[in-house]
Amino acid sequence: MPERINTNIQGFPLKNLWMFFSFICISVVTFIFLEPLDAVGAPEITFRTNLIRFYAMEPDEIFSNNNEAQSVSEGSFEPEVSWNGDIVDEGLVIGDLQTVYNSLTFSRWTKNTESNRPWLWRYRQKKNEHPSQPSFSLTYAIEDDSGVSGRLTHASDSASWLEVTVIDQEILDNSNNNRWRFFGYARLEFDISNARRSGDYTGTILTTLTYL
Amino acid sequence: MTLKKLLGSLVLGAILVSPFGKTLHAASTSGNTRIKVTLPQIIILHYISEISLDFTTDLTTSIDEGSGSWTTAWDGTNAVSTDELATGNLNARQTFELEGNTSISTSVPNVWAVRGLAQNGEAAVSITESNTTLTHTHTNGSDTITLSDFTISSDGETTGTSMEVALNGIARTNATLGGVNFTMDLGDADSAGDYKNADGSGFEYTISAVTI
Repeated sequence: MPERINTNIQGFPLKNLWMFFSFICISVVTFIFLEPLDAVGAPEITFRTNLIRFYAMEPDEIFSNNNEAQSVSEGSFEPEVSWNGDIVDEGLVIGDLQTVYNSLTFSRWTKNTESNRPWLWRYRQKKNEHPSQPSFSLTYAIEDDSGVSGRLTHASDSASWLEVTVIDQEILDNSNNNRWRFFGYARLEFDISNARRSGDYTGTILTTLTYL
Repeated sequence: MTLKKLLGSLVLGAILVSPFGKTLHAASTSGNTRIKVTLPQIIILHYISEISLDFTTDLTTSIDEGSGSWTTAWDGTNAVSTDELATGNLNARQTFELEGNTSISTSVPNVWAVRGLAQNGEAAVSITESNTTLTHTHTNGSDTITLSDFTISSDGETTGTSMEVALNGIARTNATLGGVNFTMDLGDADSAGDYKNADGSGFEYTISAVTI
């Protein structure tokens, strides 16, 4: 019968080595078992993937009335005329034209009071898996169909575009006893200074939600 | 390894592993949403509401019609000469001469401007006239000036009573300017003064602009 010999490896007792390996194995097993539990507790986040069509701009959002056609009297003009019909003076000068509009911007929320969709994103999580109030942050980015950031372009003329800025956001807490439930909205401001055409302007809003 | 040590390792492993697992929960997720907004057709027409053409150069030219000889009788009857002035032999004036043509064509520059949004970015501009006969009433009767051949022009181009021009968006600095052209017939204008309509107004034309 062989004699049992305790051998030290680099001065480390075999007994301690056994405990070290045990600790590693248990830690790995613990990690493996804990991770699925955490995965189960991850929130369910849904972004609106189908088209959000905002309600069309109305003339009274930039003018004092809701007429699409505005006429502006620029006063009188008394040019001197020579006997051969020549008139040197000019009636209107671009820089002196009346402004007419009150604003070049209008805004819309991504909610069904101002678009065809009720929300932009939704966050859901079971309370028994995440008892404390969830914490998360949001960023929004907009680009047109050519990838130019901060604008939407006309469907048939890329030289006609709207500058778009996210000027506000809102989170609705609709949680109940069992679930954390939040709905998210963004408010977009459209600047029509560079628009040349009426009709549809399209692009994409990228929403990034970071949660803890 | 005793059960006590095993449990101790398990607890220690859980304690050490759990915080690292939790920190991995700071996660981001993103979603793209197509968005669309519609702009209405908008057109803004600027116009001069009153034009007073002022022929400021007085026609006070004196013309030397040369020398002549008259046969004079001693009985006091009228002198006779073939050199007397008649409407058919008056010399032309050097500085101004209608030369039998009593019409003066004139172009009044920059008396209307348009801007706005249209499906193809353009507008159709047209002109119609009314009250084209102006009268000067004086103690010996009345004289008239008749206006006709109204056309519009823009950017050096005249196409008739209507034309298509670019709207260039809503910013006034990009507005498209245009002028009005017409002909004045002074054949029946035998007196100096203001030529107006009976109600005191002048001739009238109407500029119309429609998005296309």
